[in-house]
Amino acid sequence: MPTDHKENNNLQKFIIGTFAVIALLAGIYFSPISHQPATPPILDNSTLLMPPKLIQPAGLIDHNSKPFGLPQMQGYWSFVFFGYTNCPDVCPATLFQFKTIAKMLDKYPEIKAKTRFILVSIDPERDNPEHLKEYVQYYNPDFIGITGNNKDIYSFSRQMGIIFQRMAPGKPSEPDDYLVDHSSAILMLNPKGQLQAVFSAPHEANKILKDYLLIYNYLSGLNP
Amino acid sequence: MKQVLFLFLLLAGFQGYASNSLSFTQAWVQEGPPGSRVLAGFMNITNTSNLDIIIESASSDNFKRIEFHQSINKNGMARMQQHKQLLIKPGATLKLEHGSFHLMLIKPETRLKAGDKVNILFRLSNQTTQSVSLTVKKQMNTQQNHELHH
Repeated sequence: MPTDHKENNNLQKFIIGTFAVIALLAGIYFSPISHQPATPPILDNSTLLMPPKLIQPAGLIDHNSKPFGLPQMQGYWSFVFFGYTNCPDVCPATLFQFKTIAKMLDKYPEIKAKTRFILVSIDPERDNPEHLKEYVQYYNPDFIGITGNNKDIYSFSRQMGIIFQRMAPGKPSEPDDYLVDHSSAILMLNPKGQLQAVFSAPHEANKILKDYLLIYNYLSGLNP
Repeated sequence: MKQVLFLFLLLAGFQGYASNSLSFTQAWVQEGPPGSRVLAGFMNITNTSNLDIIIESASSDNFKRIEFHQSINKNGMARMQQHKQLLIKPGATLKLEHGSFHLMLIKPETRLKAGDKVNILFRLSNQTTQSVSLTVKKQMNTQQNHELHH
């Protein structure tokens, strides 16, 4: 009967299709990728941004006065902190944590080679490239200082979710002696130059490193 | 007898008031990068007397000016609050430490390096002064120093 034949064909197609789907799912399940953690890691003091946020810096320069844009942000996992060299307490403490993390990464040379540490000045009027270079490299010769004009620094910081505010000078007779209130978070850029994670204060090197390794392994698994 | 006791208490109180009634421990300055225009000083200050003590000002030959500041991390913002003076209650210890109260040491006269000593003079509300010696160090504390070496 033609109708029965057609029904049998449909049944065959259904069975074959079902097996194909099962085989595909099994293939995915048993493939090497499936061994990577399927769910985001549980992090202690950081937040993973999924998907990461696209950042478009403009007009920034590094401590050697060379342009620092998206191409320079790519290729590394970057810890980024917004601070200033006249900051007496929080910034030296955070740079010290960076130094400690960099030292602890000696145990993981492959990851260390793909990691870098950046201080973005929120006080570009006082932090010229030469002074910034001296400052960051005191902590580690590989650290990078970034500055620019007020407008470009402001734009970059807003994209990164950072805010800052210059306070009135302590003494009106010394207008250059002022402090800057600023966000205390450490940001993490992925090798595509996208904002991938935010580390909340207080910052402790061992906790930051623990979260970073979890993030690194998780995302390296998703994008081998 | 009551008069004798009163006199004794008066003398004891006066003693507490007039003698060196602050004790200092773990007094240090964090070494800064070359060209640092601001450094932070830390210490524990204990009031060993039986009266309130107010530190009204601080000065040093090593710095142009010294201010009392408190780092405050609130709602994701690192802020700095200046205090005109520091009050230490009898028997209490005020900790000047990272992320909290500290001395803001403005415009060092010379580059200070680990191992250097600086003297700071505190003027107290009872018209006396007390000086404390701070050691310049690279590390913020022994725990992190420990981590650095492992």
